[in-house]
Amino acid sequence: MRPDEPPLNARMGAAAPTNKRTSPTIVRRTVFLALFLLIYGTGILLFADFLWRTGLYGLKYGLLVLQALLFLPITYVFCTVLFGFLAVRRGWLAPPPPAPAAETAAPHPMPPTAVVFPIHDEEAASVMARVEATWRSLERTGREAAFHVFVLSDSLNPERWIEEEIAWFHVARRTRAFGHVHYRHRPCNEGLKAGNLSDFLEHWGPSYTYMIVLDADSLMSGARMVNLVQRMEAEPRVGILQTIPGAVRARSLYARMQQFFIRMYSRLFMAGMDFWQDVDANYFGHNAIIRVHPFMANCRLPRLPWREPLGGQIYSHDFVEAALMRRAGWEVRVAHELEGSYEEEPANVLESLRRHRRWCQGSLQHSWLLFSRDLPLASRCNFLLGILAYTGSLLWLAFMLFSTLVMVQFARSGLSLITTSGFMPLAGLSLQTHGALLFGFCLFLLFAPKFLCLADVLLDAPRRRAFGGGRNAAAGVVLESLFSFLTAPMAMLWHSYFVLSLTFGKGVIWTGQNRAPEQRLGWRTAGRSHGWMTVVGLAWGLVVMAADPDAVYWMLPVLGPWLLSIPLNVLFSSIAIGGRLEQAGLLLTPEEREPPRELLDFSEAENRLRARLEPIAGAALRQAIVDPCVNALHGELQLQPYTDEVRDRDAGWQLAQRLLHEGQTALSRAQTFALLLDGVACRRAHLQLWHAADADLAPEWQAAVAAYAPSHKPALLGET
Amino acid sequence: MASNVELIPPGVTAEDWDAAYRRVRAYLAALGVRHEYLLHRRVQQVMERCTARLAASGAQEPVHGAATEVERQVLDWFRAVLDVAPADEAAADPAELSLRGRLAMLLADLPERWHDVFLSDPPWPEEFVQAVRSGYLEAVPDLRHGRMGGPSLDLGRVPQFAEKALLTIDCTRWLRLIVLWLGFAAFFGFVFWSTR
Repeated sequence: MRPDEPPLNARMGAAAPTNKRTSPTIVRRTVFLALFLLIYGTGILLFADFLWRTGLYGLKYGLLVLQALLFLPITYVFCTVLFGFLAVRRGWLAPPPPAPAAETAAPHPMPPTAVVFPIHDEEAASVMARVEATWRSLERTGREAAFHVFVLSDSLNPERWIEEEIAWFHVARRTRAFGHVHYRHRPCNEGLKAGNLSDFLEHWGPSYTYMIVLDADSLMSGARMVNLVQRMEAEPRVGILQTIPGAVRARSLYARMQQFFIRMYSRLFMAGMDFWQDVDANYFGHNAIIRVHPFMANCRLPRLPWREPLGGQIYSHDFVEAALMRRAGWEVRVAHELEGSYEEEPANVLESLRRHRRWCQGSLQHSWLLFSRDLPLASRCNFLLGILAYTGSLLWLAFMLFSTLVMVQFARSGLSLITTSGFMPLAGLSLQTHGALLFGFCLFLLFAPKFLCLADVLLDAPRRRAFGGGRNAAAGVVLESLFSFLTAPMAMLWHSYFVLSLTFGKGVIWTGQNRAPEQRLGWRTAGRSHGWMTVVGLAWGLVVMAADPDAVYWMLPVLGPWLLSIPLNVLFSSIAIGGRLEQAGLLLTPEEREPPRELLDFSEAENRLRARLEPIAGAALRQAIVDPCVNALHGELQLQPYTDEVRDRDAGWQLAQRLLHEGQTALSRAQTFALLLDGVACRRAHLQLWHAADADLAPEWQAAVAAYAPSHKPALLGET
Repeated sequence: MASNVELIPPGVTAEDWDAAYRRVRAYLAALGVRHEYLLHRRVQQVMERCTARLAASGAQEPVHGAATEVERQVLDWFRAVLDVAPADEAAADPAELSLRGRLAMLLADLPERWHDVFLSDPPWPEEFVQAVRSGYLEAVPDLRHGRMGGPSLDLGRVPQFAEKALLTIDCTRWLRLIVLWLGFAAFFGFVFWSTR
C-alpha cells in the first residue's frame, strides 16, 4: 500500500472482498452447464448406442468410459467458444469500467506500480530490449513516474548473468531511467519463478500498490499498463486482472501457425471463459496486474505432499495463486480486449515441447488441490481443466489402444457383424449412417469453434481488415485446421509420454528457454527426437493391418502424422515457408499487418543490444575481470543493499587466484558463480590481472589483456 | 623511437619494457582512451614516470612497475575529478576509489563522450565535471520488507490418504518394484485377454 493510503478495509468499504456470487453469474453458469450437459449427453448417448448396436461387452465398456472422459474437454471448448461468440456479438459481457481520460486523470497521481520481468538464464539482449521498449512506451503515456521496471534475474549461468548486467546498464543509461529501471540478481532460484516473485515482494512489495507481471518473452504497451492500473483503481474488489496476450514476432511456419491460432481464437475463448467464470477467472502467470497487498497476505504457496515431480514445490504457481486470491474473496478477472499485450511462441516443436513438459508437471501437481474444500469449486474446475489438457492425451491414446484391441478381438473371433436396433429405432438409422452421424457430431464439436471465431472476424470490418481480409482469414483458418489435424496426434503421443514419465518420477530440469525465432529444426535433431514416434506408428499400423487391412484407413489420421513426424517437424520449423505464407498474406495477424510502436522499438533495441553483446559472446565472464568498466559495474552491483554479505573472503580470493593462473576451465560452474558473487574478490582479481606479468597469467588472460593493445604482426619475411 | 629506447631503465630488457608499455597502453585503452595520438601521449607520460620510479627503487619487474604507476596516476586523477575530500575514509582505500572512479567514468559515458579528457590536467569542461560527480548507480530502490503470508490449506481426505499410500510405496523399494512389475504384467495380460 502507499504510505498515504488508508488501511485496506477502510478503503474498500462496501467493496470489501467477498466470495458471494451475484445472481447474473449464477444464471450464466446454469445456462452454460445446461447446454454443456445437453451436448455432452447427446454425444455420449450417440456413442453408447453405437456400441450397443454391435454388442456392448468387456472392452467396449472401457471404450465408453474413455469416450465419456474425452468428450468433457471437447464439449467444454465448444460451449465456451459458443458462449464467447454470443457474448461478444450480443454484448453480454460487462464493459470495462471507464478509465479516466488522460486529461482528467492527470491531476490524480497514479499509484506506485512495479513492472516485473522474472527471468532465468534468458538471452540478455532480448530481455533488456523488452525492458527498454516497455519503458519507452510508458514514457509516451506521460505517466511513467509511477512505474518502476524490475528485471528479476535468477540466472545461474555466469555468462548470462554478466551479459544481463551489461545489457541492463546500456538500457538504463540510454533511456536515462536509472532509479526507474532496476536490476536484481538472486544467487539461487529457490522456489523457481514463484520464489523469484516472492523474493521481490518480500524486499520491495510494500512500496507498491500494484505489480504487473511480465515474462521473458512477453511485452506490454505503456497505454495498456496505465489502463490496467486505472481499471484496478476503479474496481477495488479485483485482486488479479489477467490480459490476453497476443502472439507476435513469429517467423517459422510452426510459430506463425501458433501465432495465428492464438490471435484468431483466443478472443472468443476468453470471452466465453469470462462469461461463465466471471470473478473466478484464472491467472496465467504473466501479462497480468496484481494487487500487491492482498496477494502478499494470501498467496504464500503451500508445499505439496510427497516429493517432486508430482509433489513438493509447486511449479505452475499461477493457477494456485488465483485460487488463493479467490479463497480470500478477491476477484480474479480477465481483461478480454486484445490490444497492447503480447508474448512470443517457440519457433519449433522441440522448444514448444520443453515448455509443455513444464506445464504438464505443474498441471499434474494440481491434482493434490482438487479435493481441498478450502478452495472455491470454480478454482478447482480450473485445476481439473488444466489436468485434463494433458491427461486427455493419455486417454486418447488409451482410446486408440482399446479401439485396436476391439478390432483385433473381433477379427480373431471370426464372427460376422450382426447389428441390433438401438434406442433410436424411430430414426431408422443404419449402422453406417449412425457411425457417420457420430463422426460428424465429433467433427462439428471440434471444428465449429474455429469457424465461429472466423465468423466473428468476418462480421467485424476492422478486425477483418486486420487479418488481411475475409478471404485470407478464411484461408488461414483452413490452413491452421490442417496443421492442427497433423500436429494433434503427435502432441497426443508426446503429452502421454510426459504424463507417464512424470508419474514414474522423471521430473523436469528448470532451464532457460531458447526463444530465438530463427531456430530451425535439422533433420538429424528431428530424427533423434521423433524417430521413436515413427517406429510406434509403423508397429501400430502393422498390427492393425494384420488384423483388418481396411481399418488402417480409419487409423490413418493418427498413424499418418506419427509416421511422417520427422519430415513434418522439419517442414514446420521452416522460416522460408513461414515467410512465403506471410508474403502471400496468409496466417496474417493484426500485429504483422501494422506492427505496434513498442514492437518496433523492441526489435530496434534487440538488434542494437545484440550488436553490443556479440563481441563478448562466450566471454562475458572474462570481461567481468579484465574490463575496468564491466568489473566496476559488476563489483558495484554486488554492493547493492539486498545482496548477502560474503562471509568467506579467503575462499573468493583463492578462486580468483586459480582463475588467473590456471584459466577459466580450472573452476567449475559453481565455483565461477561463487567467485562472481564476491564483488571484492572480483575487484582484487581485476587489479592483480593488470599488474601481473604475462608469465603469471593463464594464456586466455594474456590474450584478453593483449586484445586491448594488439601487438604487431610477425614480419612477413622475418625469421620467426 | 630513439627517445623511447633511451627511456628504458637500466637492467630492463627491451622485450620486458615493451611488454610493460603494451600493458599500460592496453589498460588505458580499456579505460576508454580512443585516439591513438592521445593514447600514445598518456602512455608516454606514464612510462616516463615509471622509468624514474624504477630507476629510483631498483625494482626489476617492469610490467608490475608500469601497472602500479598507471594505477597511481589514474587514482590521483579520479581523486581530483571526483573532488574526494581528504577525510573520506572510503576513498582512502585504493580499491574503493578505483571502483568509484571507474563507475563514475562509466556513468558519465567517458569512452563515448569524454575520452579526450581522461587523465588530462584541469580545468575540465563543466559538463564533464557535473556528469562525473552527479553519477550514482542505483540498481534497486530502497528496501521495504514485507512477508508473504496466507492461511494453511486443508487438502482434504483423499490427498491425505494418497500421500500415506505413496509414502509407503516410496519407502519400501521392493514394494515399489512389485507395483511397477505388476502394472506392467497387468497391461500385457489385459492385451492378451482382450484379443482372445
